[in-house]
Amino acid sequence: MSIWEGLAKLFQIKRLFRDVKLFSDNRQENKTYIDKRTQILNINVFKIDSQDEEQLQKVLKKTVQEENQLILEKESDKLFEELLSFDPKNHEELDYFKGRIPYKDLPILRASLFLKSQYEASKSVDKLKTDIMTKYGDRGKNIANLCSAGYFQKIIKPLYQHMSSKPDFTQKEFEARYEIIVMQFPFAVFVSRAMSHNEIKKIIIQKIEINKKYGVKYLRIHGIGGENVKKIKEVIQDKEIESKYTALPEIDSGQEFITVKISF
Amino acid sequence: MRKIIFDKSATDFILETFDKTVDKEGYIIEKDDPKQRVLTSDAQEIKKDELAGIRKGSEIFVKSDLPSLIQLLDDLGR
Repeated sequence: MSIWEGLAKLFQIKRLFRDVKLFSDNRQENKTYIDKRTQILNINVFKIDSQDEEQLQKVLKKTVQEENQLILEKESDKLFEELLSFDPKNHEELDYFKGRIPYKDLPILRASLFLKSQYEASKSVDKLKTDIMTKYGDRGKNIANLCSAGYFQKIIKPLYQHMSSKPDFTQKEFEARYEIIVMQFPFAVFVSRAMSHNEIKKIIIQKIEINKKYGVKYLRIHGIGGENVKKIKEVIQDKEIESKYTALPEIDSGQEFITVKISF
Repeated sequence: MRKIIFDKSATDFILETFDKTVDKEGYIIEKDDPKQRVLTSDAQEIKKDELAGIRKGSEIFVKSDLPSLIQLLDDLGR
């Protein structure tokens, strides 16, 4: 007997159902009901008697331990489904970097590509970003920022193509350059909510000096969220920073995002 | 594939099903060995409010963060 047949028998369900959802609510009278739209059999574990409870637990335990059944919390299931339907184009991007960037960065890049897709679909990404930072620290934060701003496609991929076209190319040499990009991102500043005007200004000036030393003549400043857009617009008008410009800043901005390219 | 999902309100029921409970700090522990905190497949202790679910492989507890769910996809070969 399958788990589904077992549950139908246990709760004397005659109608067809697809999935099963467990919840606990002392205000609801019904111990089970089937949602007509989703065809989900809802089981209120608060209302079932101890005999049914014992049977239900037996069935659930058996299905996890002996069958290939996954039991997921509702919100995690939603995220899991979104991951399953994740745009295959992003997998192509991930595939490109396999064997090219360090192996340890692949799961971070995968998570970051998902985060980017969620952001582009106007979904909230704060928790996803925190998850990446919690698991992978500063490296995770940097890769997520670089990926969200499109730098893997726009900078790292062309860099690899350029370097690997040379006869004396070595993977080690590319990884050394990649490491600088990931840990120092010399050509970009990512402004977060926690950064003050003076902190942003200090970082911009430091990066301008470093970039000038290596012949890089531009820097991009990125921000997401209205507050950061406002801060960046103020900082780029700061007299000390303005004095370094060789051309007017190129601003691409909406209410909730901003990218400014400054040349010096 | 048909699914079994649970609302956060039923987390205690799920833990009880698998003979687990929660210590004072909120970590999932073995009911019959309260000193033993349950570990995820990458050897991390897991709190009740971090629980994403349980999967085959005796009983593998999964955290609800993005990297853990990506790992779950890989483990399931999806």
